Amino acid sequence: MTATAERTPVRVLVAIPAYDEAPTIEAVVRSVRGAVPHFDLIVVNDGSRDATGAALARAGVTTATHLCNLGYGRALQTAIRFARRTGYDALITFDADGQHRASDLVPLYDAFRAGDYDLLIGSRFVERRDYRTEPAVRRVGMHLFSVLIAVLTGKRVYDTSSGMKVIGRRVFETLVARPFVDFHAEAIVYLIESGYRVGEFPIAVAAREHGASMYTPLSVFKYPLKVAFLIVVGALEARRTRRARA
Amino acid sequence: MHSATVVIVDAVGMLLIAWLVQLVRRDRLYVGYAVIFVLVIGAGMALLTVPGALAPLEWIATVVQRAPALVGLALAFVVLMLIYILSQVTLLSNRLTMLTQELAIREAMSSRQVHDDSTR
Repeated sequence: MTATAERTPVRVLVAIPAYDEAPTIEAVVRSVRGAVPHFDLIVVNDGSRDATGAALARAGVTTATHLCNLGYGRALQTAIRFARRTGYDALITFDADGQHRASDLVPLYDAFRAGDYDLLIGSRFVERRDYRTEPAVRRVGMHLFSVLIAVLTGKRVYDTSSGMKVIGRRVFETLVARPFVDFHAEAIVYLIESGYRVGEFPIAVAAREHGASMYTPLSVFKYPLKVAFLIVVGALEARRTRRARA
Repeated sequence: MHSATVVIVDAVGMLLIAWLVQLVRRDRLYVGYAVIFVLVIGAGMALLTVPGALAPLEWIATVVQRAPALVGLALAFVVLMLIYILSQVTLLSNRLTMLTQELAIREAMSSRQVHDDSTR
């Protein structure tokens, strides 16, 4: 379990939250194992109703099964709790829908170690710095969250909803202690405001071929309000915690 | 409406919003519920504060029925009870979440042990 970037042995866990991803999960597990055989892998089966559980059993991968669907954020939290309890140095989150490229894992992790980050986001937009390729509604949301984070923290983050991130051990405790709903913009703003080192690294994503996005038509209205509220609460809470620590 | 009344209602609204934020911050109220309350309270405050914004609603109220003051109090009680009940639901939900996560982690630890043993 030695990372390619460093001589020091480190334990890295790749975590894949999966909800109804039976058509893709085996291929995703295979691709991750092929790309980073020296990293450990866990799939959090978030109460899937399809054959995801059977596919995971066939793949012989370490699995944490939620008895009911708790949502993306809670699934990631389960993985972070597991990583913390079993002594991992870093955790890489990876989507189960086949959109992420396993070949990005090593460069992303190498950049994480080189930059001594606490959170490194695999970013679809940090190179181009615009959202032209995204659908209009999502474009507006991404721009809004990015600007809101910049206003509150002074740091611009271009991809606030990427599912591919490297999370360092230093922030495990922080990330399981707070009730993060989706580990995207709210967690990013909280960590920046708490004084942790957050960055972005360019990655590419493929178009989704199977399954449905977790964003429903109703969530187009609900999600931005919820996240904007959480960003503000997160920033306030981080400042308060920082003041208390000082 | 008298400006003093508007100020009092706005102040109560702000206090309620601050309370909701505090509940979310302490993981005592799910953010999805809080957002709905904040939106409704914010809209109510805006209607009262912006001159003329309440006119259409006042007209409807006059046409339908002039609501007694007691109805306002009853509504306030219902809102407070709703926040309280939803906060209890959130607490229960958080406990179930922790239990579910713990069971999943234990399963992962034992399944990892099995994989380690089989590869030895």
